[in-house]
Amino acid sequence: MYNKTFLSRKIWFSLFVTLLLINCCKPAKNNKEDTTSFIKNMDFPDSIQQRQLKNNYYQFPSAKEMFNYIKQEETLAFNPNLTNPVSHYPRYVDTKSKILNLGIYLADISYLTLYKEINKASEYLEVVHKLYKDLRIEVPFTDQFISRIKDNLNNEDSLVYISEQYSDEFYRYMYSNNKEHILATVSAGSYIEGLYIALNLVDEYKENSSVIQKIAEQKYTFENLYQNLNEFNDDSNIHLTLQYMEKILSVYNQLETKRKPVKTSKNEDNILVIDGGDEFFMSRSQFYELKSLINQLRKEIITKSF
Amino acid sequence: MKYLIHITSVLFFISFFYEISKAQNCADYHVENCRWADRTYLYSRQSRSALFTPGMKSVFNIIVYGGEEYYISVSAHRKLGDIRVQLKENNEKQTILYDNADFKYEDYFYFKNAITKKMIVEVSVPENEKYKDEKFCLGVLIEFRRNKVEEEDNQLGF
Repeated sequence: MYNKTFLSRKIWFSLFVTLLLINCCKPAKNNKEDTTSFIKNMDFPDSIQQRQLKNNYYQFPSAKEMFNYIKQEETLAFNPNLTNPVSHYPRYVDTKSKILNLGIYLADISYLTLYKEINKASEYLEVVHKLYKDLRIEVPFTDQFISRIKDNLNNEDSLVYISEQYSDEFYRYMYSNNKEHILATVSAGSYIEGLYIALNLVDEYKENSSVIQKIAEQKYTFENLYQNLNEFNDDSNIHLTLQYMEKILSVYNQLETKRKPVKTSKNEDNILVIDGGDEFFMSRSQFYELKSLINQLRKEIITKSF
Repeated sequence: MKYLIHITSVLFFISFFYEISKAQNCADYHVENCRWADRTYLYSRQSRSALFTPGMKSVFNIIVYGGEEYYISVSAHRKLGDIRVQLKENNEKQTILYDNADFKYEDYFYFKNAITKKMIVEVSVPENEKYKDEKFCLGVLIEFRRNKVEEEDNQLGF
């Protein structure tokens, strides 16, 4: 009898101590950021912390944001022959070509969804899923996303929304799992494909074309992409991509620049309005030089293993 | 009894390491903590979260497209104090175009941009002796939409 009571007391005491320990480590609901105070006493040799604790970040819009921006003003007709065929997937046997072509296929999905070519986009999602597996990129809820896509094949809007959510999950996963070096190369692949599609949607050079103007403005993105890639230049997989970026920038650096002083004002809604800045002018020869270079680089990426 | 001890130990360690893993990673901080603009704005992949220590300053080099309206919002742990956000031209002079210190450190602002340009979003937090060795998450949320004026021009009829 005595033993039984003693045992029961010990059990209750253990449970009490456990709950106390769990609660002392758990932040209050209204004070969720307090979890960071753990970092103070932990000496993690953790590259995630190092990457997140830096003074300079080079950001750039996604390939989809770029497509949306370029497509805004002129009616650019959809061309089904500009994407990298899904049948090319078995060609990519090494890591470098898998990463670059993952970027290419992701840009193709953005292009296809922008033009509501949903059935084709879902084929590309399957290839992207295979490349994720090959590269051990374990995007959460992938199986659920794939089954939701299959269930919504006749619902364009839902499919666009699901593919955007899936893409967001991918970026979140890469940032959270210290895979920014891979993400940098994926982004470079996406931008090469994005620029390839944009350049080839333009039939011929016109001096005052707003599309060509917007293609010229992508100089800034390639500069930030280059700086971003350069942060990981100790990774051998990055070297080739850096060379691609250098070639592209060498053409962009030839563009003529018109400087207008930057001025700020407030509009009637009291919102800051920023006017002025550098305007680029892309000549006929520069346009075709860039188009030829991008076509060549893109062909190299999609046709061979490195 | 041994079984119970095992279970409680496992529970304790799961809880402990779960909290630590959350603390190490700020990747989603801006999504979960920054104030969002209305639904007419779209999320930009240029948004980002980072680790900050008191007294630290970081520069976010971003690209803003011409003819678009932007919304920038920041958020961080309260122990970091007031977050100062400055929008600067990306040139040698780094002319300040907006400084939230002039607006009581308001944690969000909007701007319209005419020509595509590179810009600098400089984020800094004050020194704090008490927490100088601690690291905290800080998020910068960037959203955009096409210039409202253009939209209104296109809205003919009903």
